[in-house]
Amino acid sequence: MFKNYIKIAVRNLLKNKVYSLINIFGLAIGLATSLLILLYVLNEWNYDTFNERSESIFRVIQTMESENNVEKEASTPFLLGPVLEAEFPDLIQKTVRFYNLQETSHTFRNKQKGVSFSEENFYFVDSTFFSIFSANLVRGNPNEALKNPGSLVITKELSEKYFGNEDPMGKTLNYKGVIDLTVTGIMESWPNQSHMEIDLIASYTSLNEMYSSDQEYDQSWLWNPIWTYMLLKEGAEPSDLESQLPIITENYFYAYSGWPADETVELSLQPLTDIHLHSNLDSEMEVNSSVLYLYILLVVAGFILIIACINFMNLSTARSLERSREVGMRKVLGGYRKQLFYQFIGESFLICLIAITIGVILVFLSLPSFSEMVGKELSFNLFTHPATIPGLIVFTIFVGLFAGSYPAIYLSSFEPVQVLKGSVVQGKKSALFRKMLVTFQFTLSVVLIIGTAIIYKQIQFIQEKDLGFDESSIVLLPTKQNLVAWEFETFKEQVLSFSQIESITALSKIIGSEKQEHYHYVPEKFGESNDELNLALHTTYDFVETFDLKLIAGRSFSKDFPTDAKQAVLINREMVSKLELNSPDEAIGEAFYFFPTNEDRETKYVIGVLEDFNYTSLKKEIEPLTISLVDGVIPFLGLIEYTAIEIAPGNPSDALAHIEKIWKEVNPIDPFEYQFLDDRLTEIYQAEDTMSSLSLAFSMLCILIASLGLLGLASYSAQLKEKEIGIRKSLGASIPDIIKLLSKDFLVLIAIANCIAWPFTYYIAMNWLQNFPYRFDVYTNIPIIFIGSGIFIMIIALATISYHAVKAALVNPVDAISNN
Amino acid sequence: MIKLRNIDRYIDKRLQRNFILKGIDLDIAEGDFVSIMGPSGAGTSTLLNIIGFLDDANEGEYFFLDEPVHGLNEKQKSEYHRSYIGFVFQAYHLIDELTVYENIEMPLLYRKVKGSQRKSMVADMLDRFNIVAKKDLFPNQLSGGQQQLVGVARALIGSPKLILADEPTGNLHSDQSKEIMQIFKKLNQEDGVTIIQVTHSDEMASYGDRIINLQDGAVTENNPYEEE
Ligand SMILES: Nc1ncnc2c1ncn2[C@@H]1O[C@H](COP(=O)(O)OP(=O)(O)O)[C@@H](O)[C@H]1O
Ligand SMILES: [Mg+2]
Repeated sequence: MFKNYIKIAVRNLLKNKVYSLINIFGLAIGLATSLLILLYVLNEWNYDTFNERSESIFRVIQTMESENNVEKEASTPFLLGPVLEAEFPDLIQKTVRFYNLQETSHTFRNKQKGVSFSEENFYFVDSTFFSIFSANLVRGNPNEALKNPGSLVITKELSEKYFGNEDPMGKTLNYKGVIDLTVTGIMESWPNQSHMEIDLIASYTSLNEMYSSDQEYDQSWLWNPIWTYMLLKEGAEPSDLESQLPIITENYFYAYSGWPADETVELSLQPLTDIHLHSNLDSEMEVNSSVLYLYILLVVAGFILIIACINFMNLSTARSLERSREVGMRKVLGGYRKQLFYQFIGESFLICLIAITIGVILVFLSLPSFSEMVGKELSFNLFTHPATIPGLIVFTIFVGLFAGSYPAIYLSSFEPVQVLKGSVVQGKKSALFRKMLVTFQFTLSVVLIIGTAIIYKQIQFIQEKDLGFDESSIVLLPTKQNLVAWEFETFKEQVLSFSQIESITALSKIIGSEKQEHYHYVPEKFGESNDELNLALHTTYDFVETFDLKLIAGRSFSKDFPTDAKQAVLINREMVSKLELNSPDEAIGEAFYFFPTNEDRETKYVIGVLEDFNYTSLKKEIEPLTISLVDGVIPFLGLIEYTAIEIAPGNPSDALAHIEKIWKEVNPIDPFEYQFLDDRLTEIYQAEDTMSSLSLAFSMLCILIASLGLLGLASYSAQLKEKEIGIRKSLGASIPDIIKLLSKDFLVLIAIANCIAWPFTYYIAMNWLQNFPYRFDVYTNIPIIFIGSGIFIMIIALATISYHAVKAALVNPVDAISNN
Repeated sequence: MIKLRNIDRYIDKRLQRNFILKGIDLDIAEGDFVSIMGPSGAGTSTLLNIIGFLDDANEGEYFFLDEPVHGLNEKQKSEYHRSYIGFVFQAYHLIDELTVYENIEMPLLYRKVKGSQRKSMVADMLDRFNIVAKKDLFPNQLSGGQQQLVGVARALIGSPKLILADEPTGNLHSDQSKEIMQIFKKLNQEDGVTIIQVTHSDEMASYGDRIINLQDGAVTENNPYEEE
């Protein structure tokens, strides 16, 4: 019997090749798309699980709370790890600390070869690192490698970068021109599926040498630049430990002499595997992802799968007429309804099986470009994971059941009398159901198209929005505490000697980017004891000129006024409002306390007001801002991180060559590395950019699949109406009349789909846009987007249907009539 | 074998009730060869369908082998289709996607006959109807007469006790028709199979032992129930 079913199924597939292709490819594309999304989601889901003991690894985080400020921080004080280990030996197996000097770039130099590079992924870590995290040491001993001061473990890639083919073991790299570190181990590259990135690690004990002038550096319980991880003992519950943590805050944090009276702190444990998707704290090692994106993608995958399954249902039931006689006859010969149901569900499994085979091939073919699009190294191998093939089979069965149940129930319900008598079985009910499904498909498509258009529009808006400063032709150089910082005035002078250099300044943080700092700088007007923090920027002369900022009152910093160095501050228009002044001019001369509660507090006076500009990213509103001048090497070393150079428009290569030459003269230690400001600012919207290209790709696929289904239905309906069309043509109907005859029904459905999709999408879109303080002009653009998307879908549908309408219309009417 | 009492079959329209069959009383004994005749639209097919459990009467009683048919469920009806009743249709109703061989084999699949036995049974049937050479052809590659031979072979392969044939020769030339009738006659006489056929032709009807005339849903002539 089984063989008989298979034969019938295969012969039916071969008999109606067009339908079979549409059915199978629609499903295959849908399955492939959801598989790709699934791969992405699984990849995100399994971050940090490569660590063998990931279930027992936790990160300690702390929540600092004062009267009007709550900060959740991923990092802790230096001594927390060892203290926890000593206080709770029954619960904690080991702790490990990570410290990167709070810097994002680290210069390493191979003195023998004279090569140096700047590295981002470097940490000082405790020697327990290897017994907590699963790093693969290919050389060296995990128990010894990070024990002694001055030890360094690097990845294979970096070994090649610094040492070429030489054996690096025992050789030294100089760190920042300060200490020499000896390579004691080589490890495999750190997995990408981790919330941390690691290229080099040095022994934590090396810090004593780094801080040789200040052996008290780690005694503060207020300063918290350390990431602390722990491995719990087997059987220990994190809650057991968490409930005892208040003892630590009491005995160590609050007991610390410098602890502010009004500040509280709470420690908690965060599972290692939760960090990547659920953690968005201050001072994360890297920017984490969000589980929300995964949910959105899963919903999209579901949509696409549903649309593909609906195609299958529609095409199978629409073509039921052709199977009806078989059903009738099988029942007459004694087939139970149940057997017929199994036969048809079996056929849909078969089709799903073919579709998933093609789908898997499509996944293999598209994986490289998909990986590039999402910026991940995704891999798909049927045999590496034992659950893959059973998973695919379960998936196939699920889709087969979902797509095949309705057609199977419908087909197996035919009564032999009706069928064999030849009375038409095209039930009104099934036609209505089919229409509902088509409407639903197009509703989902419209939702996705409009969603995509809105995301795209918003991203484009953000990228093109005038930030209030000129971000073009600005070169950024990292300058934190390196030789350029020591010799900034010389550097500046020499760089400016070249005609294509327009202006040069230095600043504490990158203008326009997310990470900005708040300082205890407050207007005198609000009183000495005011403890609020204000957004603050530290810069040098020529800041206003370099970024072409608009001065709306007063003047900018100038060397002609010697008092500027100690007493001048610039503010923005927003700060004027905060000061409750009527005009910017009134703000000139207003006094600000810098650190009012400190003994050595300073008073500065407003010398100028700048028009508002987006000092932080467009994800945040403009805040009141103070801009103060850094003058002299010591404050420069303490506050400044970047040099910004404005170069003349046009080809930047000569100017860059000049800057590089000067850099090398002034700073032979650190490599010359630069970044254009506009490139840097685009990176901020990477996640949104990825979402936008993903949703574009997926909504196009959605429309493709829905159109395939429509193509099948239209061709079927053209076939059913062949005779009617023949008669109409012989009565003088034109081709457009015929197109109208065939497309009328479908266009009504698409119109209904738009009506359902619009309010729904509008609601979702408005909610999403609430996340952005700066939005494109919604009220003029939304109607265009909505109507445009509607017309777009209509045109696609019309084009799909017309193909068959024209074909049907061109058939010789005599043939059509006599055929029937 | 078949006992119909006061059978009504009707369709309710909005304002009226249209009777297709009205007050049918009919007895058919095992081994009978009955021809039902009547003008088009008289209700002959409906009557045959009711006899073959493909359709249900609205009123009246029907006993098949002394068992009340209205008491049978779907599955029991299917059991009878598998082992007691064979159908032959005017339009043959072969399955287009199956070959001659596979069409004939189908009833055996539902009866779960073993592979080797199935093979020999189908081979016998092909032999009997002289269509061995055609066994791998599809229905649309055969003439009408050949298709009906396959149809009859399919009805017979389950060795039914009753054959219901609705205008089996309606689409055939007279030579082909005679061939089919000869087969029926032989079956009836040699194997004692009960045969009920619907026909419009007096010649074909004469192959049977009994003729029942149907007019507007009622039996009008040769009602053996009255004669006896
Ligand atoms: N399901 C039905 N609905 C409406 N009318 C029907 C139905 N089935 C049969 N009829 C009508 O009943 C009459 C008898 O049908 P049928 O038994 O097929 O006639 P025939 O004797 O030609 O085989 C016909 O007029 C037919 O139109
Ligand atoms: Mg009839």
